[in-house]
Amino acid sequence: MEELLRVEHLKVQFPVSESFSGKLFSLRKKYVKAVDDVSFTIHRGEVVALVGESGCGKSTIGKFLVSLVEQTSGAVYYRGEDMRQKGKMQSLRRNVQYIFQDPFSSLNPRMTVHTILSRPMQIFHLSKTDKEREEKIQKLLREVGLTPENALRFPHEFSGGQKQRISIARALSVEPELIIADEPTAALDISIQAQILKLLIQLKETLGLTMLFISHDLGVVEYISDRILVMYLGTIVETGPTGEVIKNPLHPYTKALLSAVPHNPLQEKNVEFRLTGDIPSTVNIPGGCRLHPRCPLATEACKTCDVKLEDVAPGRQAACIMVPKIR
Amino acid sequence: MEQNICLRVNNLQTSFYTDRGVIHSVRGVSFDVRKGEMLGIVGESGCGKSVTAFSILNQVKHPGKIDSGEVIFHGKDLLKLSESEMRKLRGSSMSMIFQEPLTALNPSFSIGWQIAEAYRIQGEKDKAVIRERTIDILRRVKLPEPELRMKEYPYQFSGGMRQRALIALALACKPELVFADEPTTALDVTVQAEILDLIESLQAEMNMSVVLISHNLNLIGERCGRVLVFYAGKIIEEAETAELFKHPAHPYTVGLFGSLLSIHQDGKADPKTMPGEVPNMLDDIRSCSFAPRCPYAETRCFEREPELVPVGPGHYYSCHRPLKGGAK
Amino acid sequence: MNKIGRKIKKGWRAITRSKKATIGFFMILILILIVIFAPWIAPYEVDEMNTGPVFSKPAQQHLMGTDHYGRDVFSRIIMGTRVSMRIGVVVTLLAVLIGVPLGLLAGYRNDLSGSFIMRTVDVMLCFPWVMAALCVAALIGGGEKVIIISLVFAYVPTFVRLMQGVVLSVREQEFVGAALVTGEKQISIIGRYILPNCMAPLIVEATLVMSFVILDEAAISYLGVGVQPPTPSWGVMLNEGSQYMWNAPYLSIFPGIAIALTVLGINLFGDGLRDILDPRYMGGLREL
Repeated sequence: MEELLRVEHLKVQFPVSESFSGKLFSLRKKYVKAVDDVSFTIHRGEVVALVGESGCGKSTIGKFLVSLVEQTSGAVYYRGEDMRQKGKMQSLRRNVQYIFQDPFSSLNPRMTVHTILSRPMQIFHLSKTDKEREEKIQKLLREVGLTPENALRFPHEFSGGQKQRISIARALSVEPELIIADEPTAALDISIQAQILKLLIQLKETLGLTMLFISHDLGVVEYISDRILVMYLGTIVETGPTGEVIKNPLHPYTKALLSAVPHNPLQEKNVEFRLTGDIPSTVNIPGGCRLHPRCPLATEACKTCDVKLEDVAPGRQAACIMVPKIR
Repeated sequence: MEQNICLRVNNLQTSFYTDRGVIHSVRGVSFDVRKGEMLGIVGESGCGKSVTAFSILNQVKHPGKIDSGEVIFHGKDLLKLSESEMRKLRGSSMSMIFQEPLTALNPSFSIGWQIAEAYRIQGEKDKAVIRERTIDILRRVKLPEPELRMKEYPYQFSGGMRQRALIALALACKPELVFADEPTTALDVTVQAEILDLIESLQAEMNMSVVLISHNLNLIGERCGRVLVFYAGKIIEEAETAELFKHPAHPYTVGLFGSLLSIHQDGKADPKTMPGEVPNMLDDIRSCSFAPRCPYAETRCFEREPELVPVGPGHYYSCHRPLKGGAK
Repeated sequence: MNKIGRKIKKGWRAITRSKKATIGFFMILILILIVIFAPWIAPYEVDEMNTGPVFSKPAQQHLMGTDHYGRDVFSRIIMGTRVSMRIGVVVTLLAVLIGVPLGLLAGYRNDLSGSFIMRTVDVMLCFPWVMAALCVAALIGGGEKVIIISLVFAYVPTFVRLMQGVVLSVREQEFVGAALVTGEKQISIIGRYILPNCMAPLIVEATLVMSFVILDEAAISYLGVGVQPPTPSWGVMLNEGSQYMWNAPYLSIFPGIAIALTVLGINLFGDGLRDILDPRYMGGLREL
């Protein structure tokens, strides 16, 4: 498979805004380590899921890839080309598009659907004539399951599911190669969720898209993705093909995540695994293995050891000293 | 049988009188809550599941109004009680766990003070007793170091801790009946399971009745013995959990199961999508509310709204064309 | 031509949707007509003395009576509309034109330049505008210029602070991020995404400010550094009339009513305009 995007040792930190006295007395500035040394690759045509709970840095990675957030350090290669030069990341926007989580705030309430869809085409000069643009807008609306008459209406006239369809159409309007979908169904009702997911899969097939799907819901992820990256507190803790990770999770955090998803009571659960306590703040990340304060399997070694993502099975990696490595 | 009933709701109707018309949120709902059971209410946003709980607690806010119905608790109709009687009841025998713990707690008072207040309202005067009981309830919700943390304020707590504090507040006076309205939706997934475990164990320990409200069928299925499925302000199916999961009868329930993306170990599941969207509750619904989305709808479905009728022991549905034995 | 006609028709339909806007629209329309046709409406010259006996009560001859020089109050109020409205419109426009861009910048660029603007505005707010008016008057003498300069000085901070606050909240909405992702330039983000979503509070504030300005003009003129007699502004008339409050109350009542009606009309129209300009107001809402 052809490599489309490669991220290497990405770090993103945000300074914590402190009170005046805090600034006076503390010599070292505090940082939120939203993403801490993350590397991954996305191949053309694949759907990669970035899974984790709130604050794990999954959205930050997505926003970084469309230059809404700047990196502290790290490198990005798109089609093998180094993107570190100034302005290069911005140029990625033509190829990488983003679908936001909340359809209620991601559409400008003062613009008609027509304007929302035609702006990106104008900016990137994607249509030569007005007629061509109109045709493209109609085609886009039909592709996402709306009728062309909807073009002249304002966002508030649509339901949540329809709004999300408009957001998808906007993302597709620049004919991107890679779509980053940031929990596109989390704000929707269950019966609408399935509609939107089916639409995404269908669009991916017909348009040959590559997708980075960000979610906390393993049920959704299992349905849509080919490969999973599980994140906890800014680092990737497990990766592998979706089916295998869900069938046989190796990292304790993945196990807990899987076991926490409500199951159909008629089906047997394959893992029953609970973590204790809450997710720590990203300002004070625990030393050693980041999961050790919550992990029931944690040993003394976990408090101090340096955990790295290591190969544990063909195509699978995990960052846990308790998981046996392959030599 | 009658002694087993903790709460009985008869033909409850609640509407919101807005500038844009009347929103019929709850359109005639009747059900029982049995003593010591965990009853699940499942439905999508706007189906009336939360409004039902607020109506039972007589806490519907303007412009909402309970139009008619009875809520029988200990032989009394709660809807006829005065505000002060109701307030007393809400503190002691009935309470609610809210979805968003940050807004449900008062930011200006310490957690301990807020829980102690519940005891003070009940007439407890001895400060030592109040303190002891506050620490006890915080320990029961597994808050670490309750003696220290009771002095802290809501903003100092994490999301999961706040929800624990809120549960402690709701259970402070050992109520007989607790409504939990999406108690874990605002929390992270791994914390969710822990909080639900806690509610479940406290329910058994204190022998309460719990009404768990959620949009997630699997979550309800994992925790509850009996389920009510809400759609457009009505109960459209009611059954024991196992029965509902094995033999869903109403096409909406079946559709809900189909759209639910639960984890399957054996390869990908393909969700069956339901077309269309939830009806606009401003309209006066006279036909079956699900008919426009229903793949099996016939002429009569558009003419008359079906009644809730029994299919088997404890299993009711409201449909002209039920799926017998379930077409799952 | 046809296109303009359709636009007017559409605008008219929008205005009539809101009762407030309709009433306010008519009140402003009447004001504008008075401003345009004032010399023809006024039966006497504004500075013509002894048009009748001094302090005559309102009667057919003098609809609102006469003042201590025997000048016709009705004529003076009609002509005063021009002065008061001119000051109201000019001051509000200037304050908006200066304050809004600064506020947009301060809100959008939440960095050093932003805080520089905000701190400057804070300093301006500390300075009482009446003092400013007196200073300006000492420098360039009295007159309308003093009123305009000192009131613009007084109201620019209002708009800067308002816009900064609104922009800070609008900026966080996801559609701004979405616009950046689809390649919008910064200037276009501000113009097409942020500004239109700040319009509602801005319009309300602008109409409020305009009514305050009309009142403040009265205050400055009262101090004697604003509009100079015999030019009839409503403020000057109030000022002069107040001396004869007990004998001839109509001298202050009629300018007072004129101010009150104008302020009411502008506020009603502003309120209505805010609703009309919000696309959510036009169709049936679907939330809840």
